[in-house]
Amino acid sequence: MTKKFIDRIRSPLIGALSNDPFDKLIQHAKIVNECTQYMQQAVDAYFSGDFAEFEKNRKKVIELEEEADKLKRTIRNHLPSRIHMSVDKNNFLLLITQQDKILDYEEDVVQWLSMREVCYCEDIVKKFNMLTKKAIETIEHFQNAVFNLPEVLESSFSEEERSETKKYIKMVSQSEYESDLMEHEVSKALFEYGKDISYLDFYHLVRTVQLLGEISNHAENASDRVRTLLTK
Amino acid sequence: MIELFNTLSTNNIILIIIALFTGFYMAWTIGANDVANSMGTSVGSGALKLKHAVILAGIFEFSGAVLVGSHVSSTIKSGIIQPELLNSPEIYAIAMLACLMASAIWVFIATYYSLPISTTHAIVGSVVGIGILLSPSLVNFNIVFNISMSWILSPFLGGLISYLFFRLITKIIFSKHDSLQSLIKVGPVLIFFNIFVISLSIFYKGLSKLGLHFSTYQALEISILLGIVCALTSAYIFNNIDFRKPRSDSEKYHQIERIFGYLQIMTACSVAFAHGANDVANAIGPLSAVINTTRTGAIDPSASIPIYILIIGGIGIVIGIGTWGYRVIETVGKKITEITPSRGFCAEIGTTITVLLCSKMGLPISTTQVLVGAVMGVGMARGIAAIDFSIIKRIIVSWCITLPISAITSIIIYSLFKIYLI
Repeated sequence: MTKKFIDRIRSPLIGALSNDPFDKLIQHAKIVNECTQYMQQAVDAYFSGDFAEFEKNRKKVIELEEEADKLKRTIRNHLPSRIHMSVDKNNFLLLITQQDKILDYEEDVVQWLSMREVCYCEDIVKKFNMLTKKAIETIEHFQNAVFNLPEVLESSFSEEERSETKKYIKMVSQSEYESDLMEHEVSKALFEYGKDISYLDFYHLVRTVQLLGEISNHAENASDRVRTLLTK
Repeated sequence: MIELFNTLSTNNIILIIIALFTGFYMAWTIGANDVANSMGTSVGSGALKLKHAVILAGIFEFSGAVLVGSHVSSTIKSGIIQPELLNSPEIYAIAMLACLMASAIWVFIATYYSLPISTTHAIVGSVVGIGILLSPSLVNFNIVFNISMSWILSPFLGGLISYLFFRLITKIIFSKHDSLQSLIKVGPVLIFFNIFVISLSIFYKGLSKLGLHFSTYQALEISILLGIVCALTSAYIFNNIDFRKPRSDSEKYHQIERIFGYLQIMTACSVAFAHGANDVANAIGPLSAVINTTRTGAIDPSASIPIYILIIGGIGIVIGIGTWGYRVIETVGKKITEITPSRGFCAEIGTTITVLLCSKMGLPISTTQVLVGAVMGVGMARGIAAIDFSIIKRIIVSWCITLPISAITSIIIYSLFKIYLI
């Protein structure tokens, strides 16, 4: 009787609080982190011709993307209008959307690569490894910004923590800019190779370049959302 | 006590025994359910061990009840209705007993269904209900109006004070580069303020039951002095603790929250004190009316609450904490970890000030609902990541059902008593 009764507490205090949505945001960001590692391994494996390894990592990426999607939906469902957040809620939801887009494009990259199994020449491989590395670097800077958000909240938006986050956001912009330049450079090189590679190869590679570029773009979009969250 | 019973008729003895039993149950349920709100955050954050929380809550609830509990008790007993207009002491006694029983029953049911109701609303609703039944002219509608206003205003006041406090703490501690050092400097000032508020509530127009009388100036002087002594002691302790220089930001905030955890033990005790001061009335206000009237055979609205009845209430609360309250503290503590010590500190200071102010004015309010208002206030100051506004609707609904239900129940019980006892 008492045991059954004990769960019944008349405390409105519990009802006054909502689950911390930032916990889930961080959880989502951690999935992005994990997924990015698998994508990197997948791309590395693909260009080194180890297609079995590529396949294994590709499946992981798809799995994680699905998991993150579910989490994204839970976050949305747990933020009805009666919940008041310490940051602008719309911005918060847009941040989740953009963060999720990063995963979408990571999935697109591995899916697109899986369309055909080809061993490309060393020169091309080198360029693609460089490009992938840049995209991952952009994501890493973005994640540093997100992982600093709990401290921003804990300090109740102190100038110190906000500027630390902004520092990471600036690094994202810089990386994205460099990634754009690199994208241009690699695409141009592909046109030069055009005579030596098949049209199929050409299309396969050009689109991969574009998709890798999109990853950086969305990391930047997401970091812009973080910046708006920081406004006082 | 034995002598007392010898002079009473059997009916009166039955009345007193039922009243003691029900009043004790009310005090018990206040201790069992509501104390968790003051201690829950400290236990949840790990600043206090459950065992220590129970002991501290017991001490402070008891002292609040005994030292400051008489003001609100008088309101419940003879403020809402004017018993002197009643001719029959017997009717007054069974009316008060009916109120007590009706509230006890409703609180029991509400606890079973986890409705966020307050014992205060139950008792006030039943007293007003009985008053209207006996004769509407009996009810002091001015006081009823003041009480209703205080139910709406007190959560807002708690929220406002907590909002301002959190803003202040953000400005003077969190936004500083060396926030840990700022906290060590500001901490004693915060302690001074808290001790000052508590002692003022005790010494200003208080303690007359112990034969001590203080003028306003004396009360102020003593409170300031006590505040300074505590602040200096804490400053000494703070300066002798060797705080490791934090290596990272997260470690810095961790240390700040740890210090706030210690400060919050003080504010949690203050809330327990304020809670005891206000809510003990729900149990012993009617109880003292029943005992006093049946003993003397006359209605004396100005009769003060005897200290032994305050002590009965205090003991009831303490037993409530010891037998059940500790588990509720644990459960609530686990569910409100979003309230970190610095946030809890601000919410509890706002609650303490508001509840003690209302207690001194003799206004029966719900401590828990003030605390909810205070937590919302901290949330509005961007202290808590997400707060749920729907609780406001649920609290208003709880008012709307508690008042008529407890009024009607008390009328039914009163009618039954009248048939069988008189």
